[in-house]
Amino acid sequence: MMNNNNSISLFRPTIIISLCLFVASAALLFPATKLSQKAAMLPVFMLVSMMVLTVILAIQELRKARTGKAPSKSKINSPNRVVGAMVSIFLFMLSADYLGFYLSTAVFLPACAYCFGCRNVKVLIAADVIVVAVIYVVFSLAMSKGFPTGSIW
Amino acid sequence: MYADLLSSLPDVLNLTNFLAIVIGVLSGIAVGAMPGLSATMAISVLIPFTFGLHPLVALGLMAGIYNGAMYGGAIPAVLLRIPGTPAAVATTFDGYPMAQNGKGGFALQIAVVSSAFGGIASALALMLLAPPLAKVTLLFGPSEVFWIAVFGLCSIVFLLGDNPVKGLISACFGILVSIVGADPITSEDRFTFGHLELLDGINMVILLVGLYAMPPVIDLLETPLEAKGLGKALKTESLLRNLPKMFGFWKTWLRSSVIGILIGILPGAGGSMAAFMSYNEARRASKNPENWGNGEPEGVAASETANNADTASALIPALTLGIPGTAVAAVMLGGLLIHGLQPGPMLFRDNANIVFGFMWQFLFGAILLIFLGGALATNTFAHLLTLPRPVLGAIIIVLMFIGVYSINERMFDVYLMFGFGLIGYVMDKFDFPLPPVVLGLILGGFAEENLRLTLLIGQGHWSALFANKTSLVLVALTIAVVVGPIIKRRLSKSRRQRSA
Repeated sequence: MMNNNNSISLFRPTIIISLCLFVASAALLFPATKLSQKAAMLPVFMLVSMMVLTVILAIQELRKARTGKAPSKSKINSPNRVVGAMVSIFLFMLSADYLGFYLSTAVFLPACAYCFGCRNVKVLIAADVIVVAVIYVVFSLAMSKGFPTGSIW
Repeated sequence: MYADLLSSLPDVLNLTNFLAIVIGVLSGIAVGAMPGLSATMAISVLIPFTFGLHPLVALGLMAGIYNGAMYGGAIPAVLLRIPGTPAAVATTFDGYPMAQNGKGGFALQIAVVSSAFGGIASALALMLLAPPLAKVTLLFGPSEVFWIAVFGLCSIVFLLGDNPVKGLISACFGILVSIVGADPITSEDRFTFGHLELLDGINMVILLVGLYAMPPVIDLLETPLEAKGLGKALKTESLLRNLPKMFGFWKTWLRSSVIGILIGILPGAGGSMAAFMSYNEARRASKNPENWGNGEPEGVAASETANNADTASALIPALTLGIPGTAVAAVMLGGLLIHGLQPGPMLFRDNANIVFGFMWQFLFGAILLIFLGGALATNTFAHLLTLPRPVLGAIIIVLMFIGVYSINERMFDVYLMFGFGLIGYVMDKFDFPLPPVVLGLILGGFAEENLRLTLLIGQGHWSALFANKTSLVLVALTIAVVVGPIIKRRLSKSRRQRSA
């Protein structure tokens, strides 16, 4: 039973985050040590501090696990929606880069809002038209800002 | 010292600059009224759009947003029992029961007048206290500046959040981000990995937008909010007619203003702590403490005065020492840096008109709250709660894209912002405080530069860091900030064990 609890405790989110940070800091130490002594002073100090702190954080969490304290309750209500939001933001950026900003914005705005719960078609169309038009008038015409044009617009 | 304060007034009253405050206050109330959006997020998204503007216009917008958002948070707090900003939590205690009793409009009028009172007191404190403090800091050399940076970071890390280890990790992350780019003295590439885009370092705006705007946007898309019962006009008498009913709150207004100002100056504290403390103090001083929590108007006055009184005062250490008192102040510090205004004593000497103008803008922003956030406008802002959150989220994503892309017109920055956004979201959900990251980014390079200068002056001897009394005082303060909370925690733990 005890072993079982301990093995589960290793998969606590804080421990996983600590491990990731430790590995990332250790990996960054290699380029940092190749710098001259003066330029390396702060980076090396910070990376070593980060590694020590992540170990302390992991130990804190392990001690919590040993005393039977449950990991702090997740603040993410719907993980699927969170992943969906992140993926849709990334897809928007990619499409703006490769297809063009205006086309991507015109598609992304209603599609994203629809997927995340807004089913009012009138609101979606109105918001889309107004936002794209305002961006075009304010940023492209008035301020002469350039946006990624991609392969379309 | 105060002559510059008066000479900067005409600049602020210039139509464009004044309009910026008006727009800022209105946008701030709108942002604050929407749960999930905060002044920090709004200012982060705004900063890239202010690049081409005159600093006073940009700062006027920021000051207006900050003031407006602190009041705007009261609207959903009173009408829905959902605080629009964290600082409005204490407003729900009596504001919502008042709304249930049909006095929602009056509760919002109390909130707007109290917010204005707190904001005015805070702006006056900024005007009176910052210039002499800046004069003192003019005497500081590189070793003192280094210790101030260390003190600022430690105070944010150890006074903010429950776990100092997480705070320190956040600060380390911020400092590491500040290191990226060419070394300021040897010009060696540090952590650029061959990307030319990183040679000049990471633009603070990219980090700010990623850390502070993306997590709330994801939250907007994640959680639907039902705003039932909204849409009806709030029935109330005019603000002018109700104003005399509020004059009895003068003691609460004064007490809460002092609490808010003091908490604003303290690094690491913030509007919510000010509101809670002020609410408790006002209840303790009340003749009818039993009414509190059931719709006591003075409760709304206490919390709203305090959360606005910490706005400008949080900028006292930020403008004079470069140490922001709150997360919003940290973001504003970023805004100043982007306009080439380095916080510290030199700011008061080299850009007196701008820095003093900024103080006036806070004062006018607070006064404008009464006119722009009065009963009529509040009714309009209450309707914002019915806006579909997914549409709002999608619009903010597009604005984030435009803001970050416009800095250098390159997609690299947008992807970088997305990366910081993901990191910010994870940090936010796992209780890693965000302000130390920003402070690490701001103070990291600053501390490194001054440390190296001190070592250069001291011919490589580390004892140069402790060579004068001011440095030793700052070291002692830093130790106190680090050790104090640990001792306090131990004492309260042993007290709890004893009582158990």
